[in-house]
Amino acid sequence: MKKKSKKMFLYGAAGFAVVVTLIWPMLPMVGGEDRLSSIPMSGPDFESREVKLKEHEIRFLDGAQAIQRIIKPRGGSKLSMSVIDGSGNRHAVHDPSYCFAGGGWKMVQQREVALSSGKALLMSLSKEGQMMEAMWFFDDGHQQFTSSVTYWLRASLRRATRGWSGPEPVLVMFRAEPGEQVDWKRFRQVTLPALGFK
Amino acid sequence: MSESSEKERGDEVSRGPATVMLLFSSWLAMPTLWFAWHHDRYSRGGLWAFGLWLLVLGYLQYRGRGEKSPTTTWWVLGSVACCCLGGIFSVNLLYHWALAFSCVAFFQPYRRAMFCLPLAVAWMPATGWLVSRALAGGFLGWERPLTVLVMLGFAFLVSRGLGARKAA
Repeated sequence: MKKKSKKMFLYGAAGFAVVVTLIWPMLPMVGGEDRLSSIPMSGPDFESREVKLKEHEIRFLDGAQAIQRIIKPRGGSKLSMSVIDGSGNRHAVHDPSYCFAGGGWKMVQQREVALSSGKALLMSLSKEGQMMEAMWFFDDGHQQFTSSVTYWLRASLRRATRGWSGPEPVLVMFRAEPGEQVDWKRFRQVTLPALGFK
Repeated sequence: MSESSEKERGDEVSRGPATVMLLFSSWLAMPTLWFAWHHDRYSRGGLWAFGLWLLVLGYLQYRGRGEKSPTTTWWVLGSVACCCLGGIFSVNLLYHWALAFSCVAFFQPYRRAMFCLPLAVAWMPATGWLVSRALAGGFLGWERPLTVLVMLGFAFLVSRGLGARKAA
């Protein structure tokens, strides 16, 4: 290739990259349903209260939507629930194992447990002699899964197809108070469906 | 015209587009890199690793004057591809790779110094996710710069070995 045409070609490629990278995210996206507002505050088996997001949490979300609640199942221990919808910024959704590890929690045990339309990951964690249990999964409104790579692929494909490839999965996480025991079986069978994760 | 001056001329052709891509990919990648290097415990030391990596590229450019790679065009095109795919799929990791490609294209280190590209994983936050599976609490800060130094030493040894074999 001649010097001038090669130079023109490379400048053209660089210009193409600038245009595609700036224009593509601005193209309209097929709207999804508002998953967060449809999660009930109370049900026959539980009550909950909203926990306000902190300033740094809102900054971190940077366009993603999230709710935090304290759930009190009848006759059971309190749990903290976080649900993040990354439709506005999918980079705010992380593998919870990564966040726990970053916070100094060591994985003692983890196992997959069956839900009515998929599975969740149940984890036992320890930090400075304290034990904590947590359960999390991704939910797309139809099924639940635990693979971060699957979430990453689906969220990427959704942006590439501007929403035509399917709904945006949300990250759902429940944490017990450190040292507290939770009847996870009952929680999965009774409370979780009442919260809308069927 | 000699072969080496033909190569040199080819590199000068790529210099302008490489600069454009370096500026653009920096604008795309730096906010997330900066945030991760300062807030993510598994990205601690990433800024130092990045600085060290740039120093290595600069040194290799200085050392390899007159023996420039004719493949600079491909590094520019690699950066273009990563930017486009990163924008379409909304993947920050691809922006980070676009920056790595454009840095290599801009500095144009000599041919045998192409190992610098895979070395870029040492400053990329994505590698922290892999490490988090085995290590709780994050990095202390020296691990990433040390990775650059160790990989660099290893690559130099391999590079020297290859050079000696070629000379023989």
